Amino acid sequence: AARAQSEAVNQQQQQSEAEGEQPRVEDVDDEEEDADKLLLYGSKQIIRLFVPVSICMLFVVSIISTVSYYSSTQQYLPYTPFHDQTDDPGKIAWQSILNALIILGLVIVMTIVLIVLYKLRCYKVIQGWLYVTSVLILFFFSLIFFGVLLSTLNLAFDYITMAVCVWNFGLVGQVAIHWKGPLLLQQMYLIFISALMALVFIKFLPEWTTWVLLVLISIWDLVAVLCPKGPLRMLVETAQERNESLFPSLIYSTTAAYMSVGTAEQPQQQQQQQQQQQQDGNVSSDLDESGSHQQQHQAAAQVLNGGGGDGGEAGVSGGHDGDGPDAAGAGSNGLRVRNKAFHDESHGVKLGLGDFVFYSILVGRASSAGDWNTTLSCYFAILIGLSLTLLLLAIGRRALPALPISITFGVIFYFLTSLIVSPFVDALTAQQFFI
Amino acid sequence: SSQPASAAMTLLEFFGCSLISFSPALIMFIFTVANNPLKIIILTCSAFFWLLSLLLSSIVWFAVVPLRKQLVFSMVVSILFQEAIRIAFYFFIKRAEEGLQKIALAEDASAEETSQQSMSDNATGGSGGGGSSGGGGGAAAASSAGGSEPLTDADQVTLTAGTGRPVKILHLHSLSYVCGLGFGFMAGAFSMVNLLADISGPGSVGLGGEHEGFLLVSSVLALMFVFLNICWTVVTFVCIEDRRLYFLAYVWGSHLLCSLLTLLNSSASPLLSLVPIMVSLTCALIGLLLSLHLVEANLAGFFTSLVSPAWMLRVCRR
Repeated sequence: AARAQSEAVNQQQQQSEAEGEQPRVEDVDDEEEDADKLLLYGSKQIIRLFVPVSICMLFVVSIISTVSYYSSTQQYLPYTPFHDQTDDPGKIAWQSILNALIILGLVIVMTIVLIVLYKLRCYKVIQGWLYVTSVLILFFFSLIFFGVLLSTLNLAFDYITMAVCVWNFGLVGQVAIHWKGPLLLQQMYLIFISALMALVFIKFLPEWTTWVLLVLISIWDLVAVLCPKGPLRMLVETAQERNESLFPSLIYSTTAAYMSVGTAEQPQQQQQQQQQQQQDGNVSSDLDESGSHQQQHQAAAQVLNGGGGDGGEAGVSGGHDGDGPDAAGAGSNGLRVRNKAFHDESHGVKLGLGDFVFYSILVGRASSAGDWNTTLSCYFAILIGLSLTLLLLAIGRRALPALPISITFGVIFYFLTSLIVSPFVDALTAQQFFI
Repeated sequence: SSQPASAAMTLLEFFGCSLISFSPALIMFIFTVANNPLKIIILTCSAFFWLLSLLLSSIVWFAVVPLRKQLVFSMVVSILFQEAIRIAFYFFIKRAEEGLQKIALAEDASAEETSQQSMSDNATGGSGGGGSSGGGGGAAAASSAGGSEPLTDADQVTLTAGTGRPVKILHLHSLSYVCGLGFGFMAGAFSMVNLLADISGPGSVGLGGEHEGFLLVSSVLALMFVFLNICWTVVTFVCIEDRRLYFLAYVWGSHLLCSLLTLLNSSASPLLSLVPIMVSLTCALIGLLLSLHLVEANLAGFFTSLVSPAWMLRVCRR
């Protein structure tokens, strides 16, 4: 190991010697970096998104593989009524397609409700509902999560300590996400709730429904963001007309400077209200049920609405030259790169939480099959899709959906790897043949 | 499932084997790649390309049904695909570099339009058209805005006139090293990761009735192949760049040799596995010397640096 490291170090030293510089144990590319400041800035933004996406996926994969609660599907959501355990491919096909269409219909309805509300400026209700949704995830789902984690680790824990811990955990999360807090803390909480939502989806959705849903959601994302009459595009344009920013609390942001810019504070509450309003409409229908699992269904439904609605939101425009810093809105499934200000690193990249959730769902579902080759290839496929999307964003400079390319790559690679590559590699490693 | 105390033993084996295979790659990643975001992206890209080559060879294995049991055929096909993808990656990176440079220059041009025009006129002095003057002005604007060391006239002329070699985004040698790391990591990962997952279960030695050195042999061979991939990629890239294609014979020959020797790995005896391990080690050493020679590294300095800390080397150079 030392030799390999020194070899690399020495290679760089030799190169720097050849270039007539002072030898340093550093990157020799500083010369080129000066000339390609923009390229390096762009790649820094990509890495700033690689890291949280990877952490979220790693978290989901490790929980799926160790905690059996999330990898077993016994109950189902009321939104996926067709879930017979059968091996008939035709039956599986139509059932999963119908389930996925139902969920997609929900997402579309919620998005339209959201846009109507946003146009009618009903901000406060949306903000209140957003608070309720994150309370649900941070307290209720976290309680369940910690409970099953402790039972997997076989640790004894009393309710009083658990109550105190979850209370603190949830409250700090609320403050960090919706109000002010250290950026790292906010990012950690956002990753945690995305991972938790992904786990809930993996638990409650039948297997083939998950795949069909992923494909349909990415098609919807593409249509909604790019079509001229697409709802998410209209949302973004309305936000731009009003010079407001959209939903900053459900977006993963790599910098805090965005939040502290003046015009961001006020509209933030307005957009939160919109989201809550849209989710409110869906909750009223299932308030009559009781029982812990039913409540979990409800909670999952509400979260699903929240996640789906956010998932249905638009991508965001890239840097608009000459606009105010917050003129371009932000959405859950969009990306935002400040291409113009290469010297202004305070504007970071934003990625919607819906993207985190769906990437983690894909990788988590791939890993629940037990084959780690598949998981690895899906992970790399998603990363490559994400970098391609960011590259397109840098070129296109407009609102782009983050889901389609990554999900397409991920799904293709999942099926190809699990069906073709894995048997080949297993045959090789069983006999220790290396290629 | 609950974890009994005996899980500690298997976890030890798990960490041991994984670190045998991957710790050199991990260290190389941490110290040379992790601080440069562009390198991380290229690493991901190259890992993905290796995955593509594996996919292609699996398709061939899957398609040729009668030869599915004869893994030699598919192994040779896979090696050919890997080498082809390695060469293809070289051309891909070259093409991508040009494309990204165009993007960078276009960004500079658009930035320049809103900033000093006079500076661009002075800088270019009538060379090229509007685009190139935009590039030059943009470069000047970038350096002034960034506050970095000013671009020399030579650099400006390079960017503006479009003559001479364009400024490289990443030096070819570090690029090939990073690509090799990506290839090697993926190759090792695909051969080890399922094994490691099985190891961390309830029991591990001789998983399916194999000899007790099974895991060790696999881990060591994975380690060898990670390192070999780095050497092969460096040699390949430098060969194609300098058009000295005869060194490719080393790459192809040693890849085939090391890979086909692993056919000796049988479940009967661990001693036979020493042959592929030793041969791979020799090929790796030869590869190391060859790549150092090709990148024109100072061999004496390299071996001294193995035993001397960095500060001492800096002192020695003064």
